[in-house]
Amino acid sequence: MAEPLLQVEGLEVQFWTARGQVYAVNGVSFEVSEGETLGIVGESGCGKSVTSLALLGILPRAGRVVAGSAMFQGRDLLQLPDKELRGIRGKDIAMIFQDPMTSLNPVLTIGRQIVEPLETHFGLERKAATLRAIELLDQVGIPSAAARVGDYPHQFSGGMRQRAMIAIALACEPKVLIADEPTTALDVTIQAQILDVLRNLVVDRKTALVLITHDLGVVAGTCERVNVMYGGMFMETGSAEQIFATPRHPYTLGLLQSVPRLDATRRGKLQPIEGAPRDMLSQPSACPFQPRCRYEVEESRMSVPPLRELEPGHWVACFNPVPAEEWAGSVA
Amino acid sequence: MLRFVVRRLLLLIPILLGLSVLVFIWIRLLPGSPAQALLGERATPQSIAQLQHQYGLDKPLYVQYWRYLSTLAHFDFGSSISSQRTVMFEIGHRFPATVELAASAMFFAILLGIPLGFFAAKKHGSIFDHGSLVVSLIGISIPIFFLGLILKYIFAVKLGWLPSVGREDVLALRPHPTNFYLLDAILNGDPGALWDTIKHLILPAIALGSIPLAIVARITRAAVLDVQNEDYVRTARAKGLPPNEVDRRHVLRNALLPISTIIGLQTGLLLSGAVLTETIFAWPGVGFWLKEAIFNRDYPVLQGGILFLAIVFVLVNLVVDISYAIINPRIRLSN
Amino acid sequence: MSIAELESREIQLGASTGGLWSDAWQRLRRNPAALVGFFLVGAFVVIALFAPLIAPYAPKDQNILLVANGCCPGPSSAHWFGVDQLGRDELSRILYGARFSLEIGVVSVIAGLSIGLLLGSIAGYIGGFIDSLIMRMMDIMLAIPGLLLAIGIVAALGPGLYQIMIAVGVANVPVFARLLRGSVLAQREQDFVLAARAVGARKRQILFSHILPNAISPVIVQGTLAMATAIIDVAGLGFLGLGPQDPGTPEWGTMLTQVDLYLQSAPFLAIIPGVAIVLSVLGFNLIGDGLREALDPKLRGRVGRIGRFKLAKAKTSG
Repeated sequence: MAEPLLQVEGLEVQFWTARGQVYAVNGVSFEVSEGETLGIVGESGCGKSVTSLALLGILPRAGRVVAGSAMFQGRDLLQLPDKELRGIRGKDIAMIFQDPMTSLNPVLTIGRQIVEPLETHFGLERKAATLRAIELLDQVGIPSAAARVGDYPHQFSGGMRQRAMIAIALACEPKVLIADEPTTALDVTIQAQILDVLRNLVVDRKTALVLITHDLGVVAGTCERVNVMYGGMFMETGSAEQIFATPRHPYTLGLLQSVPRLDATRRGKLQPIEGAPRDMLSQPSACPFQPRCRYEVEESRMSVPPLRELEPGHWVACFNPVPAEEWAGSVA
Repeated sequence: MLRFVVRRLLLLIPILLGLSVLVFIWIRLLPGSPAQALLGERATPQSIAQLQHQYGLDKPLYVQYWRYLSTLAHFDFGSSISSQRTVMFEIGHRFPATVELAASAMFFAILLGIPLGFFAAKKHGSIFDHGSLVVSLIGISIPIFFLGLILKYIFAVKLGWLPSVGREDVLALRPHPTNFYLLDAILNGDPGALWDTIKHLILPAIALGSIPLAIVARITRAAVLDVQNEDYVRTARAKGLPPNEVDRRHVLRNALLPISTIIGLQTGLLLSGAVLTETIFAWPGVGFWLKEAIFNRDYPVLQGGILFLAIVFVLVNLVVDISYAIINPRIRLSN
Repeated sequence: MSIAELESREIQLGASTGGLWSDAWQRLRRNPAALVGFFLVGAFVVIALFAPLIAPYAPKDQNILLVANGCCPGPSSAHWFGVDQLGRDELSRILYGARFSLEIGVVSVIAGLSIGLLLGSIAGYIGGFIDSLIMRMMDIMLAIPGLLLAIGIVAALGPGLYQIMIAVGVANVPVFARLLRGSVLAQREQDFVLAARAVGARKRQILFSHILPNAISPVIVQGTLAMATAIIDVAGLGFLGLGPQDPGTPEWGTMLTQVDLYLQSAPFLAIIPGVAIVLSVLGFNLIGDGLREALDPKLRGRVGRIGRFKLAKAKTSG
């Protein structure tokens, strides 16, 4: 296996708010290599986005990284002074944000916003940069890009804005691309197109892609490895096949069971996960999923379950893992 | 854009007509008959009869209004009772003084207010932020005339650094082709006159500009705090832009939208504040003139002056609306 | 978890502790600036109500002997704030002056507010032609800057206490009308109003029992701030000589008119009424600001004081 491009170890992020300390990310580790697509799945509020913001050093003011490391080309992103990190941000590691409606500056043209990273990182002249911007827009599939480069965001449709966001992220040909819910705000047909653009990128340019989403369908078709996140921790980690065929964590199982399926029998009911997500206002001292878990055991309340490798490459943080046949059985 | 401007201009018509109706009613509410009010105490039966005929006061109301409107259309606001000169002549003479004062006050407010509010927001929660909030709140709470008196006492009476009244040294007999003294001094190539004019401007401009300053600073702070949390600012940071460029291009440009609206609204405050400020500093502008008119019961002046200032206020807001549209592509490009 | 999620989560946590008003009260109580405001306004109201009991002298009592050696003797044990050019006790005049400011302020704001409320809610709820008509009228009134409108009204009605009340009140009408119309429009489409309409509640009943109570919080904030503006405007009109025509009346703005002549010899005669105005205006502004913050859902749950402190600690240790 190739040397990982980005290697995150034990990342912990906390927020200081009026309501108290929020334990947003509690020890997360993962790695991603060239041309690989890594999925991070979880419901909203589980700490997925905070993880990516922390890596780029653009957490909101109230947030702080309190522990962990993130090695990228021999340097720890979390220890770098802001000035050096800025040289990496947008150039080597770029990010696509969730909501294309609000993530573009309404008073600047699309072209101007694509040109910005080119000017900053490569010192390109305005004219050369604009030509490159047109090329990028063309690449992400904006028709008559040369004519649209001077448009403002409100003149673009939602799907086109997300394409423009991708063009911004691709401007400097980054080695790592973090896509935070890139398709959530879009129509289904456009979702597929956007995912296609991302997939081609991984194949053609060997970009390492970190795909953050709550949508299991998006992950299933795109990622090689999948991390399931809950309460700021990874609950289960494995290849896409392992996760979708033999989920071993009760939470993963719950996620899969709450997705409507066409091939399920009419009588088979959807099984929503009972209860509400953790409020994250206290340091986890037990399994974060325990209050909502059907499989909880005595130990679940006593301590935080560590990730254990149940079969090669398949890690589960649970004291009482779901039997391997459980999911296959419920589908049949 | 052109359609936007044309539509805004068309919207002016009902407002201006409404203003004329309001003032027309107001004249009829004045003590005594309108003719008497407009002529003052020196009214003679002949002059009253003449005026009644001129304004058609013996005709039905709608005819009277129509006549009134046609005199206004010719910029005929009547003549001052105390000076006998036409109101338009006086306005032409005094308005430059008020413009010079109001513009300096606004200049002072914007030049100080935007950076102050911006840094307060940048240092959100710091002592500087809390301090600027307290200072701006006190700034909003100080009546202009009180601040004017205090400034005058400290810098003119006690320290003697700055003159306390007028627009220029009373002994200086300088030509004033435009009545904008700053401009005149520059046109005449007279640095001494320019300095003298600036010295006379400082205190009244600070007094008049203090409230807009406080408000501009508060709005800037609130707008910057708001914009800072926008997703597109996060996008800009994710691009690896240096912080000052994120601030300049992404934060400030968007924060300018609410700030520009407030600046437009503040001109109204400046125009009414001018009455008080000009009174304190004996500034020979429209405000000072209006204040004297109140005491002389010079109703033609009051009528013309208030109507004129209201029109100026409406026009300034039109200009602000248009410049708002220029910074906001959403409006500029809409049809 | 994004920032927005974080904040919406906090709002949920906040909302669970009680209703809008009790929540707002909790936040207001923790806001030191608002507490200062309550203190200032409380003192202002008490002084205004009990001026005759507190004041050592009658406000119009002259004692020319005191100014026989020039104007004007400064503070002394008999006259804490000194005396004015006619030998009247400045402290007593200031205390009585609070009555005028409070009375004119309250009456004019309440008058402006109720007429504005009525016009605004009619315009917002009925809509259509009536709405356009009312709002164009308000636009025209707003085209004349507030104090100028008041000056015009006083010029027409003649100077005096009641005239000032009417002038300042009328100048307030369009402000409240616009505000309430906006609020009502926003509330009209809310689910609970649609629900009330669906079950066949009468229009007037919907307006009074559903829309107005929910549209009222910005009005309360604006009302408090309008009190501040009213006190300033009243003093301004007094300063221009449009106040009570008896020059002996201890109105704060009027008291400032004559001091220009004595600025050199007795600056305290300008400073004392000025400070009285500033403190009472500041009090209303502080409460208004605190209320706005307490009632604004967007501002809830921002990083608080304690949070900042911990953050600073975490920074130094980490």
